[in-house]
Amino acid sequence: MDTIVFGLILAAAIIIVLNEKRWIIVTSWVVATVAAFVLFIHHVTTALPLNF
Amino acid sequence: MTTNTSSSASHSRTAATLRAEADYVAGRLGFWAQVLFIVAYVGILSTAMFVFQFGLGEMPCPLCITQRMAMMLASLGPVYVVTQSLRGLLTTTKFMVGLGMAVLGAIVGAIMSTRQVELHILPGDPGYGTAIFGLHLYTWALITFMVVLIFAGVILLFGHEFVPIAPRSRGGRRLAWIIVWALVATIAINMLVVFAEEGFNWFLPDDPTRYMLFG
Repeated sequence: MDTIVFGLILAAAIIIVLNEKRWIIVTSWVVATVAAFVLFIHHVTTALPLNF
Repeated sequence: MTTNTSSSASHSRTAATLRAEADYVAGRLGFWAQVLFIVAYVGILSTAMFVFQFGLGEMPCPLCITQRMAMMLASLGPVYVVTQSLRGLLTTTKFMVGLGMAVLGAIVGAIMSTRQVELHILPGDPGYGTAIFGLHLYTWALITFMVVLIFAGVILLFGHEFVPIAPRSRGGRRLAWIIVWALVATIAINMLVVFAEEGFNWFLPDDPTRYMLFG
């Protein structure tokens, strides 16, 4: 999954550098960001024994 | 009377010229500030990979990898601003979009690094990996995300003054393009390295010890 997310970030980077349409750029960036966050959520498995 | 009018017009012209020059200098400063943002994260990501991962043999954990991702996502904002500026297509809207990407990327990264800081926050916990100047890499990552938020806040505080103006010189423009492509190359190299670390598994183990692609 990590490789796929890096692939999405790389695709977003190339689109941002080469493309000029704002909605395509923002969409590719949002897709990559959501994918990275979902991966992070997957790794958050337990509530920490901390009090705030 | 004529002398006074002429003197006043000349004064206004001088003030307008000075203001235009100040805007130009601020615009150029704004451009190189965005480039510096990209340089900083390319340097940090390269140090993490070439010094800590390859040099010291410290395998990045899954949370470390997600923080690298957030650094790249935050850097794509300035990449957007710089490339649009170099093409002469940058508008205030596009500038705001770029800063928005940087801010949201930094917030996502701060959430990720805060989680890892909390994992090791209890007294007696040795932390994960080598500490630099007493702070572990995930704590430094959190600091860099805070710096990004401060950077974006300061730029926004000035309104349109720091909307970047690309350099006219061929050398300056070439340097900016090289730095933009250096970030793209950094992302590509990270993708290959994480593929070596993860192999054909869906997820990294919590405490990776070897490159699973090679057995």
